[in-house]
Amino acid sequence: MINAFLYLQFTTVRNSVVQRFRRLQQPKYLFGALAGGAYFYFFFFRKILDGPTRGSGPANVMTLPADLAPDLVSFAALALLIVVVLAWVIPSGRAALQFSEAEVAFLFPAPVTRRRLIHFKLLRSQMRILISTLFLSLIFRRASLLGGSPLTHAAGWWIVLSTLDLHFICASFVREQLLELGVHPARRRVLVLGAVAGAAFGCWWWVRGHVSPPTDLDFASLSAIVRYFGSVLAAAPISWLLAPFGLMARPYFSPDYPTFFLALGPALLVLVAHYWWARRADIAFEEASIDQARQRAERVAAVRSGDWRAARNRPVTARPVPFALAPTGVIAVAFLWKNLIALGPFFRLRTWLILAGLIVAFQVWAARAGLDRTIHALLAILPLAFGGWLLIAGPMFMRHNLRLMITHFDLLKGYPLRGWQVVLGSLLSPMVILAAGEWLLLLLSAPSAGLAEKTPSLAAGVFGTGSLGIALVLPPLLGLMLCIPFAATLYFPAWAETSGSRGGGIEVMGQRLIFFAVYLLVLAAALVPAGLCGGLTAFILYQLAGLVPAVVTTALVVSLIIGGEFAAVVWWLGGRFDRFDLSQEMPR
Amino acid sequence: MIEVTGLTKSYGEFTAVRDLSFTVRPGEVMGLVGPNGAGKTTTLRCATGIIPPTIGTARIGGLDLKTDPVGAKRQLAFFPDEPRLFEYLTVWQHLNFVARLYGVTDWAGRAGPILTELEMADKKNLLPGELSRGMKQKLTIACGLLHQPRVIIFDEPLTGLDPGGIRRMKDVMKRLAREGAAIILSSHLLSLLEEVCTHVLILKNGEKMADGTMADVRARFSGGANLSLEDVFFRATGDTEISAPPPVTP
Repeated sequence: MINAFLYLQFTTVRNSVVQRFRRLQQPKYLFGALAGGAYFYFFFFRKILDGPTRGSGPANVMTLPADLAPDLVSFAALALLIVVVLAWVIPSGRAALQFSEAEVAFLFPAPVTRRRLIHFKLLRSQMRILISTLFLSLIFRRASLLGGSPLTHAAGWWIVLSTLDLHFICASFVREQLLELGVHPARRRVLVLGAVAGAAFGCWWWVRGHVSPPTDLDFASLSAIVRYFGSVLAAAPISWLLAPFGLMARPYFSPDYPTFFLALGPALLVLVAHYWWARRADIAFEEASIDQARQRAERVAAVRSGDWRAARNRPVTARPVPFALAPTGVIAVAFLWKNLIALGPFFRLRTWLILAGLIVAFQVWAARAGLDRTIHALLAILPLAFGGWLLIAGPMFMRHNLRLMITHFDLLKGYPLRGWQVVLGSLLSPMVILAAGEWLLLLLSAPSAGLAEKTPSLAAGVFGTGSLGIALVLPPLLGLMLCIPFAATLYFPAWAETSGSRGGGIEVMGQRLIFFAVYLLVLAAALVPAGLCGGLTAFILYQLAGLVPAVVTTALVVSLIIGGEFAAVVWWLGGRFDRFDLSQEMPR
Repeated sequence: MIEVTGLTKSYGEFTAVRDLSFTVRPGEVMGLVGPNGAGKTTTLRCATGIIPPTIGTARIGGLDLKTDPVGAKRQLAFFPDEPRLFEYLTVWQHLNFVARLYGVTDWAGRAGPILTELEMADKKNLLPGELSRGMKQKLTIACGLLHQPRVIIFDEPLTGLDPGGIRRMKDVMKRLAREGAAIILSSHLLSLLEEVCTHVLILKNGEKMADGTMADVRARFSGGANLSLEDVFFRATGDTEISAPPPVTP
C-alpha cells in the first residue's frame, strides 16, 4: 500500500513540476519566473553559489560568541514550548488529518487501514516540510550569525518542523479523545492554561528566590541581555520544563559538525517518540477530515476567485445600512453604499467620528500632561510612518477586491451604466476607506509633531497647515493610485487573474514583483506634473506671501492636478470597460 | 421589441454566431434552442450588451445597444441561469441598490407587491446565503422586474427549481408576455418552450436552422405529420440518427 502512496505523491509532484514548466511558454509566467528567479538569485543563492571568495562579507565576519549558543537554545526551547502550548489551547475543532477532497473520495472508501492513512498523511506532510526547510534555511542563512553550515541548519529546521507536525497531529488525537470523554474544549483550555499558569508561577517563585535581579550591566548589550535571560532559562526547574524542546532545537544551533552529530541523536529520539505516539493512536478522524476537506476546498475555490471574505468560511449576517440610499443620484454612491454594507458596521462615519474624537482628546491630554518631547516625536513619527506605508501598500492590498470585479463584469455590464460610472463606483469605496484612515493617522501625527518642537506655537501653524495640505491631496492621490491596479485588471486581465488564482510559486511571486515595480514607476510618472506645478507654486508664493499661504495654495494646486488626472484616468478606464469584451479577454 | 440584425461573433478564427437576424415583438415569447455549443449564450450576451458583436447590431426598444447602451439597457432585464447576488445585501437592500442603478424613484412602492407576488414578503431582511436556490432565483426576478422592463431575456430559467418554482416561473413568463413584454427564452427543455413560447429560433454551429412561429416551424419540418418540438428540433438540426433507445433485453 505504501507503494501506492509513494506513487501518488511522486506523480503529483512530477506532474505539478511539468505543468509549471509547460506554462512558462506563456509570457506572463515566463517573465514572472525570470523576475522571481532573479530575486532569489540575488538575495539568497548568489552568496552560496559564489562560495567563500565573495562570502567575506559582513554576514560571515559577524558571528555571535560561541558561548551564547546554549542561551539561544534555551530561547528557542521557550518559543517551541509556547507553540506547543498554543496547539493544546487554541484549536476547537475535532481531530482532523488534512486530506484533499480527492484523497477523501479515493482513500477513505479504499481498503486502507486507519494507520496507513496516517502514514500517507505523514508522507505527504514531508513534502511541505522539505520545501519549508529549504526556504527557511535560505531566509535565515542570509542573516545567520550562528555559525554552523547550511546542512546543519537545514537538518535542524527539518527536525523542528517534523517534530512539531507530528506533535500537532498527536495533540489533535488527544483533543478528540478528551471530547469523547466529555471534556469540552473550553474545559480543556482551562485545564491546559491552569497547568501552564501553575508551572509559570512555580518557576517565577523559584527564580525570585534564587536568581539575582538584572542590573544595568545585564542590559549593556544584546549579548549581555541574552546571557542574563539565558541563565534564567537554563536554571532548574525551568530547564527541566524546556529540556525536550531544547533537544529539538539543539541541532540547529550547533556551531560545527561534531556538536551537531552529538545533538542529532537526542533530537531524533524525540522525533521517533512522536512518530510512535501518532502510529499507536487509534482515533476516528475520518468524519472531521471529510468536513475539513470540504471546507478547505470551498476556501481554496474562494481564494482562487479572489473572494477573500468568503475564504474565511465565516457565516454571513445581515448588516445595517451606512446611510439611506436615495433612488436617484450619483451612481458611484450606490456602489459605496453596497460595499460599506459588505464591510460591516465598523466602517461607518460614526466610527470615524468617535476615533477622531478620541484622538483629539488624547492630543489635548498629551499637550497638558507635559510629556517628554521624545515621546511626542515618537507619537508623530510612528503614525506618519504607518500612513506612508499604507499610502503605498493600501492600493496594492485593494487590488484583490478590484480583481474580484472581473468575476462580476457580466453582471455590471448588464446594468444601464456608463463605464466611467462603474469604474468610479468600484474605486470610491477603497478610496474613501483609505483616505479616512490616512486622515486619522494625520490627526494623530500632526499635533504630536508640533508638540515635539521647541516652539510649539510656531510649529502648530506649520504642521497644522502642512497637515491640511496633505489631507487635501490624499483623496485624489489615493484615487489615482487605485487606478493603477484597476487599469492592470482591465488591460491585462489574464495577468491580473493569474495572481492568486493559480497558487503560489516563483513565477507568481515574480509577477507580483513586476507589478509592484510598474506600479511605482507609473505612480512616479503620474506625480511629475503635480510635483512640478506644486513646486513652482510653493516657491513663488513662499517668496511673496509666506509659508502658510504657500502651503495651502500648493496643496490646492497639487490636489486639483492630481484630481484632474484621476478624472481623466477614470474616463479612460471607463471607455476601456465599455469596450471590454468578456468573451475575448477572459479565459473561456 | 428586440431586433438583432446580421449578428456575427468571432473568437479569433472561431465563429460562434454567424450572420444571425431575428426580431421579437411585444407580447411574443421566442424560444432559443440549439445543441451545446450552438451559440445560444453568445447570442444572449450580445443581445443584452454584455459582450459586443463582431459584426451586426442589436436594438432594444428601438435603441442601438452600441450607440445608446444605457438607454437600451434601461428597457432590458436579463436573467442568467445562475442567480448572481451580492453576498452581504439583504433582499430589500438588493432592490434598493437596483432601484438606484435604474433610477426607479418609487421603488419601495413597487418592490412590496413584487415580493408579495413572489411569496418573498417575509424574506426581505434575509441575505442570499440564507435563501434557497429557488428563493435566490426569485430575488433575481424581483430585481429584474423592479424597473418594469419591456424586453426580458431568460437563460435556462428553470435550472435548480423545484416543481412549485417551475410552475411559478412559467406563470411569470406568461404574465409578462400578456402585459406586452418581448421575451427571449433560452432552454434545453423543449417541453417548456412548447408550453410558453409563441416563436422559436433553432441554432446550430452558430447558424440559424429555423425560426418563426411554433406552428410555422413545426409545419416546415413535420411534412404533414403531427410532430413534437423535440422531433422538429432533431430534424432541423440534422440529428436524424438520434432515435429512441433500443429496448432493454433481460
